[in-house]
Amino acid sequence: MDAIVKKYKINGKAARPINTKITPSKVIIHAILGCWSLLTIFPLIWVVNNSFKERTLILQDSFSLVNPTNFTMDNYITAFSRMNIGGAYVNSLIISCSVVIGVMCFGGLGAYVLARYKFPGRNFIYGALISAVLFPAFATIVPVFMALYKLDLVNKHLGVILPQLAGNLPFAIIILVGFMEAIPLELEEAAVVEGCNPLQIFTKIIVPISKPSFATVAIFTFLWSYNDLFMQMTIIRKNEYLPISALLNKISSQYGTDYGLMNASVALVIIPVLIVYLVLQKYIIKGLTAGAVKG
Amino acid sequence: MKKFSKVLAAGLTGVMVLSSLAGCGAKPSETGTSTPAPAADTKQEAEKPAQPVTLRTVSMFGGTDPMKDVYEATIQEFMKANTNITVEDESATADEQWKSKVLIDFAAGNEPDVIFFFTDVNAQALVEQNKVVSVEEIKAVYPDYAPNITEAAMESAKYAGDGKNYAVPVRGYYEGIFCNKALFDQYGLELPTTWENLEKAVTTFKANNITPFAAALGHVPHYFIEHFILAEGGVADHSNKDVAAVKDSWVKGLELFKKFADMGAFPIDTATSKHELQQEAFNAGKAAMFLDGSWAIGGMTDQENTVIVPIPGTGNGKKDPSEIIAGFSSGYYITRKAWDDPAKRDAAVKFVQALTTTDVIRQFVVAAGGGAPAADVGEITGLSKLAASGSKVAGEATAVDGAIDGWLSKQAWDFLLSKVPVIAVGKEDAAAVVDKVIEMEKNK
Amino acid sequence: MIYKDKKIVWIFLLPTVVLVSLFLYLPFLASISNSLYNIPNLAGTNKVFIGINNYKEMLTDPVIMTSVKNTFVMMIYTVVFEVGIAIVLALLVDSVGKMQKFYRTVYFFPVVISATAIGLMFILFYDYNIGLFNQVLAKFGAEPKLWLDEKKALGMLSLPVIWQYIGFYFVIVLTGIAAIPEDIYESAYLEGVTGFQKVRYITLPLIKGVIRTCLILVITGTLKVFDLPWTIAPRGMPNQTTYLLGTYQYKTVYEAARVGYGSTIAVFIVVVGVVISVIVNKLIKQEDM
Repeated sequence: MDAIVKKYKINGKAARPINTKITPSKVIIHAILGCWSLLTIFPLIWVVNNSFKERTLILQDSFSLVNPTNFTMDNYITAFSRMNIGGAYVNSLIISCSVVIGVMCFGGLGAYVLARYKFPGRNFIYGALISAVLFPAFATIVPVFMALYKLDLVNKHLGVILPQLAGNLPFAIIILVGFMEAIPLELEEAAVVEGCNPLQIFTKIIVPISKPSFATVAIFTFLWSYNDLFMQMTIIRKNEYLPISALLNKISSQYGTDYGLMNASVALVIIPVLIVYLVLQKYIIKGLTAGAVKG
Repeated sequence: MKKFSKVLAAGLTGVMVLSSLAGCGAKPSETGTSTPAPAADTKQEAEKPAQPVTLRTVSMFGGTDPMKDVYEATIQEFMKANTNITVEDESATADEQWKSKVLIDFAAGNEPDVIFFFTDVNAQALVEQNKVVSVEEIKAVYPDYAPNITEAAMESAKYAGDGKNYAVPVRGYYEGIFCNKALFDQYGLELPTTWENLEKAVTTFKANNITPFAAALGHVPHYFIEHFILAEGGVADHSNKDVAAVKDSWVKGLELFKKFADMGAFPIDTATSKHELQQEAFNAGKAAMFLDGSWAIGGMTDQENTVIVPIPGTGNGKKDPSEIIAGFSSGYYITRKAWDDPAKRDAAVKFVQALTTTDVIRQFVVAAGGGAPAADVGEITGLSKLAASGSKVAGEATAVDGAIDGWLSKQAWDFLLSKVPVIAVGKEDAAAVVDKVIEMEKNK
Repeated sequence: MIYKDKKIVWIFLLPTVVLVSLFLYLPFLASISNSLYNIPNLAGTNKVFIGINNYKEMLTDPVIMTSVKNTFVMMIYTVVFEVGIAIVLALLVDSVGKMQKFYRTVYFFPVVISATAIGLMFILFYDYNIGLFNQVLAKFGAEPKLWLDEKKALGMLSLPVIWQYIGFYFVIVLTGIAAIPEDIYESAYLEGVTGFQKVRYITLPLIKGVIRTCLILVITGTLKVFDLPWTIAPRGMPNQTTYLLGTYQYKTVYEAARVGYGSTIAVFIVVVGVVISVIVNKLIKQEDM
């Protein structure tokens, strides 16, 4: 085992020579990437900018920058005065973090056996998981609600966590299987020689190597769980248990009659997602793949 | 001011009784028995040993609804006055998903104790599953339940399926043409009180590059459907639930979409625009007329120069100029679950009583900037010129009828909505669409 | 083969199988059963068994035809542009040293903003009177345009969908590139393979699995895409020409209260999705890039 780690660690450390010279092709690449970043930064600025405007002004003129004459904090004041923002963030974190952890554990184990074992029913289960990605939430919500009601899970965090876990597992497994299939078998073969059991192989080799893909899955699971208004609002009604996105959506009303409040809500809602993304995306880094085996 | 509200109260009361007697056959069984409650009764109840009760309530006074503050303040006051009762409020903004959520709750047995909900076709599942208690049944035990609600309001808030009252109404609505009076004056036009005036206004505005009607036919054609059929057939035909019998009025009414579209009455992007953006265009003075209900009054920028006018008849004599779309389409229900629970029955009744006092109703109407109160609230002060003009229209109406989507099956209504823009561009024939609606109503 | 012990398979899969069956498959079986009924409201009362009549209706429903056509057109757009641009951006970002972190961060922005807000923004891009596009045209002295007319509407609806989700596939492709062992590049570098050749012969073949995953996700995603198109152009506006399977299914259940027929469409969506996924899997397995 140590031998393998050593071998890969050395290779991992030997970084690719980075060309620091300014070449014409680099300039072109940066120009292209720069243009695209303008297109992606724009909506964020648009949202934050409009969150400081009055609702009527947004429909009349949403593309001008706020200035001292029409600047207003009213939207944020309304949001904070109408509800307990802190409590709502806590609800969101409880729900979404549980879902992320659950999806990583169960999805990781599931993807590992689907990627590595050949067993009767393997293709059937994998196919069934791909089809499950297709189920529209609108088609399954009524029976899900009935079941949760019978289990007395309505208005409880667990009532949202369980269906969200189920909803995100197929996606996680599809992503993770794709990556795990690409991991060269030699590492695991060496580990078997050293007497590791499957669970040890999973925790000591597969998980560290797949860190980038686990990070990706965690990012998107968090995002979807956090933004899944439909499930949250159907199952949780009491304001004190509502997660932040559902609560903010509720006060700014679904079909956006108050656009100012809606933009302020969006600004408040995206902060945690951006933090999660910034924390996790650093694991999606090239060249550390093999070196990370040691953890 | 005093004059308006008197006219409104008297007119609306008389009119609604008249039209409902003429309209549907269901005889009012419990109206007229609303004698003022003896004060002693309530006192006795208050002296009983108070057991802690928790009431769950759901309403559509959520989000940024203007009535939200009055509603929440009333709950707070109620809890202060009845320290043994805790009210858990689960209100949200009413939209299709909210309606569905309420229905799923009722189906799953997770219904609240008191709910403010629609009294129209949306209430079908609630009534048919025997999930809500009729006012008649409540009054048999609590004679002082909803004594202040006018007969007209109770009549209009009846569930059409069986002609019984289940909900206690608070505030009614009316619909009409919102006109930018300044623009009419500028082009020397008369308000659209006759069909000729209306057509002249459309052609004149069109010629002067002003959109005659700010309308998003692909998004919210609801008001136009009702008003065109009303213009063609009057309340008599509009209120006839046997569509086949009044097919002619329906077809001619819907054909007006094509006619008006050809005249250039609608904006160029009417098939893809949104109702809110059109209201914005109206507010900005880019359009001269806007069709909507009393709930749109609050969103109008110019409360001075905007007036509400009833749609005129097309000239075949079927519609009296004063007839409008109006009614009471929502109210407070007590659920069967709460009623059958001896611990909750009393609290639920008290709660609804607290929410429907004449004073609270007055506050609701003021907060909403107009609309018809369900009780005789006397003089309403603080209404804008626009709201007052609307109240006048509602008060002077000789006959009213609720909106078509209050009784038409959701399936048929949805079909009709989706066909409006197609009829307007001449891709489909109004008669064929009406035939399909008749067929859908038969099969439901 | 080192993986012989099959007992462990079921232990590892158990939580997934239980959760997915309970919260996805059982409700979906209920949908299949509902597709054989006429159900006039969401509470499910007044159910009437009508056999395969819903399926018969679907075959002759002109709006379903429009939806299927539109969904496939949008699928082509999303496969080509969403995945295509995502791959190009990921390769470019991977190739630059400086600013990499910045690009990775900002490219994710559109993904985190809710569809309601992005929808409103695009409504205000396209609006005839006050829209940004027509404001720009006016600056150049051009006539205002109707951006959502019947010809352009579907493309105009695809634009925000593609644009919002490029960041999503960008992150996935970037993860795939990150998983390529460094020593492979080094040996290639020593052999003088650089630039475009490196991408063509090393990177792309090695992320084939990831691209396949992206394609399956993009196809299944387009089959049920709902929120953005519904916000910008509800009820298939203009004139029912832009319905997609996802938006038509939603409308059927929530606006028209036809729960049985809506379930039929949901079943149809799943069947189409499974068929296309199988085809994609076969195609990419056979053809080596």
